[in-house]
Amino acid sequence: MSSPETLADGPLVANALAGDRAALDVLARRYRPALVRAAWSRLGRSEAAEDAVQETLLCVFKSLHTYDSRYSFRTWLWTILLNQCSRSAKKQARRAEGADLLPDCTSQVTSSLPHPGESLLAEERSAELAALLARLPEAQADALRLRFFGDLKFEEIAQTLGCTLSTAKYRVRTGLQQLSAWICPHKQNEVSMPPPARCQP
Amino acid sequence: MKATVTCDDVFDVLTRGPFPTGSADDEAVELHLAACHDCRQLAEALRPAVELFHEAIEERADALPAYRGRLADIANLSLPLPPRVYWDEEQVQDLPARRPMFAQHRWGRISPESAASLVRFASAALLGMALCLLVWTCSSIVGREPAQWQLADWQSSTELANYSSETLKLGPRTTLALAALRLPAACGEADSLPVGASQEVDQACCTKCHSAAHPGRDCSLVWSAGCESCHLAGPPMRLATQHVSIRQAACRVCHDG
Repeated sequence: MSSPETLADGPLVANALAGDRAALDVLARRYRPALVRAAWSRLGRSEAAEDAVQETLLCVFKSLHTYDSRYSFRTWLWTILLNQCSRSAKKQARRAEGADLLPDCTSQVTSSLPHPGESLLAEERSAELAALLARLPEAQADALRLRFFGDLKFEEIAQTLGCTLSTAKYRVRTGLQQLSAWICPHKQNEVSMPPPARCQP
Repeated sequence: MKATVTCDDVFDVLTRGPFPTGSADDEAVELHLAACHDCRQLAEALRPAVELFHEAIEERADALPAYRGRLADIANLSLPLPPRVYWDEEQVQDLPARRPMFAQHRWGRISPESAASLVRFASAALLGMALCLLVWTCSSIVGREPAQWQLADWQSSTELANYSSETLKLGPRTTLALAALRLPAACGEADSLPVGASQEVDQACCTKCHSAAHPGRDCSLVWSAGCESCHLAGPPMRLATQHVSIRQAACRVCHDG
């Protein structure tokens, strides 16, 4: 008999529906890191991202009996996460109206990176990416999150976002192009100038 | 991946991760990129954003807080549970009814929240009373002059006779009262009595001469504490209005009649 870790989503969901709690654990372990990354890039705070993922997983486990097996489980899961993130973002926006958000220090405290400089750089990159994604239209940003954080196929992105396959591809493509333009603005105008390190081929 | 790839396949590869990926399909993608100008341009255009994504993903995965201890293994252990005690229905009915802790108290009819509020109120009231008592005691002591602290407590003339007048320190109010007395010139010269209001008297003026140890030159009835027995024991108003009626005021009996 194959280990639950190696099972595909479909059989795991079926086992979970049959009352197998271990199958739920496997599903949670499988998707939680990607969900947290995507939620963090959307919400910008580790605590909020953790909360959103927790709520998402709880919702999945509670509503698993409503899952339609004709569709991909990942699509269903990521749709719930995006909805949860939207709700959390609205709550955050309401709270931020009265007070500025404090800098997120949680990940710095528990970081396991070896060097403080590297940790700082990693934080800067993550923050830079989150800031750039926040400037994009929400549909494009969500498409990119699903593509890179969720590792979803374009068909799954289309299902999750409720759009056509070509629209999903277009959103990913235009989103990436816009991000690149913000990262390396000279590429748009000055071809002859040497690009910075990140932009070198 | 098939040997010949389409633009869609290349787009899929380029948006999946940094290229080259290190897999066997990289060669086919490179061949396509060499031949397709649009895909090559797109690859160059997307590269900064794709790299940023993957740097953030890799580093963020390390930076995110995560539990890396042993408790996850321990949680999976199936530990034997303690044996359960089963009760018959009759045994359960014989058990005394479980009542809350406050139900056994005299305040049984009061809810625990109300009882706690009452206790808090009583504590606050007791504390307030103690503070009031402390403030009243302090104010009654501080409000008096130093001489009053002692003279007010002396009730008998014997105690007054034993009083050492050198220890007195007169305040300005007492000095004014003493200066207003019509004293013989000898008293003022001999003892440097306060003639003006600004003088500060270090000692009990009259008692310096007219004490029990040194009987007065002209006075037949002088108490040891002299002026201070009246002029320091009472409030200022009493000094002004009751001079005549106070027979204990030794100086006044002789000099102010």
